[in-house]
Amino acid sequence: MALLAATAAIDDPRRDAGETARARDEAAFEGLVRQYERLVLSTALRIACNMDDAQDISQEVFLRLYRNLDKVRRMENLTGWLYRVTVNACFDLRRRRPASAPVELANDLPSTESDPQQTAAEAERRRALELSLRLLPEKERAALVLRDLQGLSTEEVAEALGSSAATVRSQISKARVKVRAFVESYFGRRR
Amino acid sequence: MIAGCPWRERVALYAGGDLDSDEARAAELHLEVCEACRAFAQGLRADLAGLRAERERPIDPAHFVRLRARVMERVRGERGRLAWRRAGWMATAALAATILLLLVVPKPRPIATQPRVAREAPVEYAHPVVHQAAVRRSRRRVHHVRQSLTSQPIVVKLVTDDPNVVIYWITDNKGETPQ
Repeated sequence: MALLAATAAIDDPRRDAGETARARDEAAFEGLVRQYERLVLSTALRIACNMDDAQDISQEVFLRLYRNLDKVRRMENLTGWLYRVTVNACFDLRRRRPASAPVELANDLPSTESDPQQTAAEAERRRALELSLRLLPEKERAALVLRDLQGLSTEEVAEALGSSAATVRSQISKARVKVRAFVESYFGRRR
Repeated sequence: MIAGCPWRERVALYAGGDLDSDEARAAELHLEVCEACRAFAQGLRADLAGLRAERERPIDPAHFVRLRARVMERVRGERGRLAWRRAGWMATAALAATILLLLVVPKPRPIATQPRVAREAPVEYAHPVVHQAAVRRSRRRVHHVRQSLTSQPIVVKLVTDDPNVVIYWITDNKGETPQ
């Protein structure tokens, strides 16, 4: 309904040609935002570990997309470009705005919808995993998020991080070992 | 420092499917003999399954609505600033072009207007203005004679070829200049 209303407003013959063109451009760009908002926001959320920062990061990513529309239209891999810009925006924000101690934010986990069918054990495991991500160094967290949460290949992760595949494999392996160690200690099981 | 078996990081890559076939085979052989790494691999696989499940977890749609609203507001603001900047440049260019035009294009010369000559001279003129040289050169002819039946002076206007030279002769009806 909202989309129909927007379209009707755009095609209103009383609007002059310039205003109509601008409205069409805005509608087209908003369509692009809708198409990639989940990719950008979820990645930013997992790396930044809080929704407010993730919103700021995502807004910055889409503004960069808007400013580079001409270049982006000629690009073959927009998804890869978006991942790269999102990761860089996360690092930039963290440089400007250092994160609080991750343990202190234990009660401020990323706000996602809770699944009513999830068991208590699963919810506890999810909480432990989210905390373990927060404890990782920034670049290891980014590598793990892109590989294991976003499902990118090692080569795609390397491109997004601006690193080599070997460096990414090292970061991923270290991150996984740390996650496992944290979850073990969280549930009180050590070997 | 990562405690435990030195194979931990390779096993971590193996559990995530990130080793090539040769490396994976070597890791499998190690797992057959290392109980700690077997337990580690089993636990890590569960962790990775939990992380991948997060990929499908929905995010509250309100967050996307908020993001879109913020982005489009900034986009509209940027378009407005861009339009003002463009208008400023165009105004500056137009002003520069106007100044250049005024400097380059020569000013036209004013057209000399013909002197206005009264068809009848006022009676108050007591001393007609005569250009001696022009009168000698030009042909005299009487332009107009106003006949007066009273004792009012008669004004005779003499027009020459030179439009700037006009001779007014004021006389009485006897042809004498009034005192």
